[in-house]
Parts: sequence; structure tokens; C-alpha cells
Amino acid sequence: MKKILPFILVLTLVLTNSCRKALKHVDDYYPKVSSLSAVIQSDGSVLVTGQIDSEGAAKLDYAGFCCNSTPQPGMLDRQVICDVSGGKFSAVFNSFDFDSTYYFRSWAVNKYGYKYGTILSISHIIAPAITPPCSLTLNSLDMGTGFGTTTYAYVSAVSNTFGTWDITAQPASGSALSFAFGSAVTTGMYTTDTNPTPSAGHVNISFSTGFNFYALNSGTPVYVNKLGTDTFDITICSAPWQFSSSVTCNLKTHFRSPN
Amino acid sequence: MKRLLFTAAFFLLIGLKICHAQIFLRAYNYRPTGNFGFVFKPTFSAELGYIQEFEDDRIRFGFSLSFLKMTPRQDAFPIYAVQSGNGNFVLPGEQRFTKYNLIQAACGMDIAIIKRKKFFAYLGVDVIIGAGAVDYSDNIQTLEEIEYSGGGILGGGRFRVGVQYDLSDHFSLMANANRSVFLITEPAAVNWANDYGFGVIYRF
Repeated sequence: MKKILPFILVLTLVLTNSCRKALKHVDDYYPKVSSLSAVIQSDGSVLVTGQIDSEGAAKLDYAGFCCNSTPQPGMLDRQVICDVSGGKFSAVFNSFDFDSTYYFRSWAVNKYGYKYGTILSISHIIAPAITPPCSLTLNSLDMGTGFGTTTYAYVSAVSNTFGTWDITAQPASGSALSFAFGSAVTTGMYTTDTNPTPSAGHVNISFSTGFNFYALNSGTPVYVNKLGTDTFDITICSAPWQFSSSVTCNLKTHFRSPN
Repeated sequence: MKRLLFTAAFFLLIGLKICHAQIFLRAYNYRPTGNFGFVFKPTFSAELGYIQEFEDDRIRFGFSLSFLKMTPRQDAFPIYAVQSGNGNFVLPGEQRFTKYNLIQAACGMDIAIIKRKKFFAYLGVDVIIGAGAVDYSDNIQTLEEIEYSGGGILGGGRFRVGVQYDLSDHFSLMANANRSVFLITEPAAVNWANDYGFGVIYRF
């Protein structure tokens, strides 16, 4: 019996301490994930939220979202890796083509592999309309120089050149205003900036009188509503600019691009 | 693979000549566990071998041959890799097994813990050697594409509990359960499995 005892001991250890029985359903090894919501934010971005329903047979390694304008987005399409807190995670996507439908899909991985969640879709992504705090006549421009209000003879469509999204607005009298947005133009409130190549969410508005060049001072809100694919309604209630070191004028305008 | 079969057959013939020989044929249900069980379905197979009798001693020796044709649980396994650099990216991919066949030769011993005139209960241990014929592919988007077709050698061990009942001078019935582990070289893995089987022993 003494000879057998070590043998029994080793056998018992092996039989009780090795790998576990295979799970009945192979899907039970993988995480289970759901895409809960996709909500358009006030700035036109989309906030997507997902949920880990089950981590699977191993701890969760990563979770996130992917997004594309094709109905089955793959994991590498605009991939965002998220922090999971309380089983939930969220991501923000920007820059959408107004004419497209976008599909958002959650995914999660553990050591066994990955699984996708459900797919959510949103068409014609556009931020909710923004209401300026003033009411100006459409197609009007008041430079604030005391010469009264004029109209626009021509307003260009938005064109994207060298990292800025540009509009040229030519009044019936006076020099043209140049708008340079730092990001794709969509519904939202932008802020004036004297930098000719502004950052996202900012706009540089410049013009000339005679041989002098001017720009609206930094920090004034510019209200933009996207009316259609390439059509915008733009309002500036009162934007200061320095005519001279001692004279500050306030520009007011409301127009549509293109016009 | 052929060399292995010939060697096993040679020892079987030698064994039949020199001992109170018993050959056995055992049908069993092979159930991979752990990661092996995640990838492959349980399967049925048979084992043919030579085994000594429990005579005066409680110990007997034997060896056997078995072939396993494993079937994956999915056509494609969704795998991934993480690419680091300017932030992490999770790269999706898939792994497919189109062939995973194993031939195993086991050589070992049993110790009778209960020994009656016609009934025996025993514990056993074997050394396993063998080979695998494996075809698989790994494809991870933007990172790698691997296709492998070939063989790998394997080695491991097997532990057993079983019972045997002698029906006559020539025939016995056996039932046993094994827990086995083996290391295979391609794709490199340590595979665990259980098997449960019944067999017939024929005594010359």
C-alpha cells in the first residue's frame, strides 16, 4: 500500500487541479456586449453608449465602438477604445456627412476573442438648430461704422482649402468679408479668433478697408445653422473689431451661404 | 507517422509472444478541456493495445495506439491582436482549423487497488508520444497572415482509473476514465482532455 500511496496522491492532484470542463456553448467564452444608444449632441457630435452584458469566460480586455457609413462597420472603422465603468462605456464621434447614414457598433474582447454588439444607425446627423439671442434681418450687414446697413451682393458656398473651411461674403457696397472656419461647418456656435488659421470651433473673420486689413476680435459667438447639405444660416449679433486703437466698432450680420 | 505505427506493431507482436498476452480494444469518448475544449468538439475514437494480466503482482504494463480526428467548434474563431504605438489599436482577425488529427501511442502501467478473482479496480499512468497533422490559418487585419500545413510532435502523460471484470478465461470487460495532457509543437499548446471508455480484453 505504501507503494501505491504516492501514485494515488499524484493522480488525485492531476484529476482535481487541471483545466476546467469545456463550456457547453462556445459563445459563452466570449464577452456579450450591447449598443444602448446613439444620441446627437448640441455640437453635432454623436455620443454612443454601450453595455457589457457578460465578460465571458475570462476577464474583459478591451471594449469600444466602431463607426462607418456602411451597414456593417468593422472594428477598425473609426475605432474608439473606451474605459468601462460599471459595465457601461461610451464614445464620441465627430465629422459626419449630412447626406449619409452612419452605423455605430460596440465590440468587446477577452482572451478568447472578440464579439460585436448590436448596430445603431442615424441618418442626416446634424446638431439641433441653434437660436441666436438677436433678431437681425436676413441678408443684412452693419459694419458698425455709422454708415448704416447694407445687403450682400454675393455669398459663396463653403470651400475647404488648406485646413480651413472658407466663405466669402461680398456686400453691395464695401469690401468682402472672409470667413475661415477651423473645422467643417455645421450647426453650432463658433467663436471668433484673430488667428487666420483658427482651431476647431473657431472662425477668423477678416476684411479690408482701403489699405488696412482688419479681423473681428477674438471671443465673440457666431451662430451657424445648417439648413441643407451645403447651405448655412449665419448670424453675428454684435462682434467688436478695432477700427483704430481708440475706436471700436461692432459688426452685426445675418446671411445665408451660398446666396 | 508510419515509423511510429510499425514500431508500435513490432512491440505488440513481441508482447504477444513473451507474456501472458492480452490485447484490448477500447471505444471511448474523448472530451477536450480548458483551451483545448474551447477550440475542439468532443469526439469518439478507439484504442487498440496490449496489456499484461494482473497475476501475482498488483502491477501490470501495457501500451496502446489511438487516432483522434478533432473537429473545431467553429469554422472561424474571432481572434485579435493589440497594436501599440500612437495609442492602442485592437486588430480583429480569425483563426481557422481545417485539420487537427492526432495519433497517440501510450505506454504505461496500472496498479490494482482492488484485486479479486474476477474483478479488478486500478489506477494507471501512461507516457504519451505521438504526432499531429495540423492545417490552420491565422489572419489578423493589417498585421499578419499565417497559413500552416504540416505536422507537429506531441508528448505528455495520462492518468487513469478503471475497472476490469473477467467474463471467461479468454474475455474480460473493462471500463476506465483517463485524464491526459500533452504538449504539441505546432501550433504550440498544452492540451488537456478527459476520456471515458469501455473495452474488451481478449486473452490468448
